Amino acid sequence: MTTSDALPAEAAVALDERPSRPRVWRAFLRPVPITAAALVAVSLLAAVFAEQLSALSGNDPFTYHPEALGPDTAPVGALGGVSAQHWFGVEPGTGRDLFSLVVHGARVSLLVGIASTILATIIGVVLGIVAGAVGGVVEKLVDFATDVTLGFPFLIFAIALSALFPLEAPRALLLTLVIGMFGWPGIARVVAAETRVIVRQPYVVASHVMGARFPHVFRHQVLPNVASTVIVYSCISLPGRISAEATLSFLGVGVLPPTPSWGRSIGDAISWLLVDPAFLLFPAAALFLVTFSFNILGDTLRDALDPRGGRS
Amino acid sequence: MIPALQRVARSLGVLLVVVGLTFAIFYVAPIDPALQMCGKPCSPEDLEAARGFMGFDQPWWVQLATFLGAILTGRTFGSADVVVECAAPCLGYSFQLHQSVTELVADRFPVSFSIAIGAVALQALVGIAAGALAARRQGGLLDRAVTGVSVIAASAPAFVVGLLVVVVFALRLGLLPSGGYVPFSEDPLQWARHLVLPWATLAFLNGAIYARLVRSSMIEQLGLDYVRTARASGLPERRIDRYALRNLALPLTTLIALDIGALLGGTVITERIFGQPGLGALLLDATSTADLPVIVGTTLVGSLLIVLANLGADLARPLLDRRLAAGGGAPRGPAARTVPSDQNPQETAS
Repeated sequence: MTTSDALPAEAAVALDERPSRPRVWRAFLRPVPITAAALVAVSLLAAVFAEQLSALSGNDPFTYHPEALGPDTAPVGALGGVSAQHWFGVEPGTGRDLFSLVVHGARVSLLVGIASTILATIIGVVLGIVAGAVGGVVEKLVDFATDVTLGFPFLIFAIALSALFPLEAPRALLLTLVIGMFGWPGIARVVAAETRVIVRQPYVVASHVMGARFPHVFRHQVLPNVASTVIVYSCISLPGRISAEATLSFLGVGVLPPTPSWGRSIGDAISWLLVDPAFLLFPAAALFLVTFSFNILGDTLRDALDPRGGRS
Repeated sequence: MIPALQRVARSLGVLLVVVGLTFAIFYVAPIDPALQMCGKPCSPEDLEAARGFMGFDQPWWVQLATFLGAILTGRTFGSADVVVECAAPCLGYSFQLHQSVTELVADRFPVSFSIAIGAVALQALVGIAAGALAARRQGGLLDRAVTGVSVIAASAPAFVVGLLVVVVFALRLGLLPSGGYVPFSEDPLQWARHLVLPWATLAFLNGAIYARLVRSSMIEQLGLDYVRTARASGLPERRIDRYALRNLALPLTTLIALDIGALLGGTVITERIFGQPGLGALLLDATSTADLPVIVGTTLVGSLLIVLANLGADLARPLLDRRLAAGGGAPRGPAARTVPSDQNPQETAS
């Protein structure tokens, strides 16, 4: 690190123009972001109180209800057997309550999505700051690690890895680890680029001259300044990770039965497309609404926090 | 010339590390292909013989070296009376399917290639056109429609869209087949008919990314001084659009190259939905039968394609922007991205 490096003008402006709190709040007080926030809140509540919610309808996600099925094991009644007892109908073949499956499915989706995002963010922020602040060989190493991680075909590799997992292993945890371990390069690059600018700022240099060591600079000067970027970035990447879990479960290499999962329910729906297309409807709608809402929230947050804007 | 060589060397390095890591991970795997081959009941002597036959009795570094060597020179399993040949480039041998992984991949590749090429062409075409039109009429009805659809497409998981497409266009309307694959050499028309739905699914999802990129970059370009000057000197708007679009060649080429690489490695999701026997289907089948050599081989092929696509985009960059060739500063306007800004699994692997 040398102090004589010229400070890119654009970056300096960006650092000065942190938006005020009221502006961030105002951005959310519009119909679309509010609806999205409400949907996210509902899905989070569903995930936390899944047992209570399905008990409210008098069901659980494991009991078979053969009485709700016709002779061809397709549900009896409209929309996949929607009734006062089974609010979303039942699963064809088994007659399990679809409402219970959907609310319990929220648990796996959100848990894996959020946990893997936290993991990816922590790895990305630490590596990014270290690379950006230290520079030199360390930066080259992180850069190479980034290239290697991006050189793995994520979906293919995740499928391949699933062949190695023993049946009794905790799948949700393994999925979180796999998705998180492959998610850090993007955030590491962004954070490294910002850190490179921040450590050349006069106040950081001054603090360095006064004897501050790296942990102090890391904690008090770099971290607060990359915080908004990190928050925006993790929000934007969260829906992608939720769909990654759903995709793997859909392909049959994610969460195993009988744990309810939206992706697996949708995968099961393939064989029922002709007889009972409604079976696809509820899990797919739940998955889409959740990823959609998180996307809207991420975009809103980015527009509100990113003073450069216009990247939509 | 030298920077190009450096890039090639770096790609080769990345590939070697990927191969090494993959090999290491699957070497410690709790799956023993020798045990699968040995049959039941399996005596310890038979197991030892099977391990020797497959070369699993060697230490891991010897195995890795043999594996890498086999890619160049081919390899023979077993000795004396029972011999299995695996011709170069040998990516391993499936003792379950009694075929070399290279042959298996070569069999399936045309399917994945057909899906990927059509999808990339369609998504680039539709996405660029939609983005450019939206930027032209910024704030108008069309712009809002394009933006809205692209937000939906960015959130919709690929398999949900694919299944909806099957339900609506194949099962309800009966317009197109719901799945299957017909080789191009057999019947080009049927080949295309069976691929329209997967192409459309992927193009809808990935086209949104192109539309967003083109829209925001076009708006930026149209606000620059050269456009004002061109307008003031009376250039027709069509010409101005062409100039503005030309400045997007760099990020678009990068995006297209990366998409081709990611899709070629296996259009896993659409292959599963539309029942097409591509590389993704090969991998999924191998996963369910725990066919380790096929799993490792497919993963490496997927990774090779991604690294090659990256390299291609890197090498094309100076050709598209003379400022880079001259060693000057970064181009103005849309940032030249080496990789997608986010490792979004949907974007990179659908």
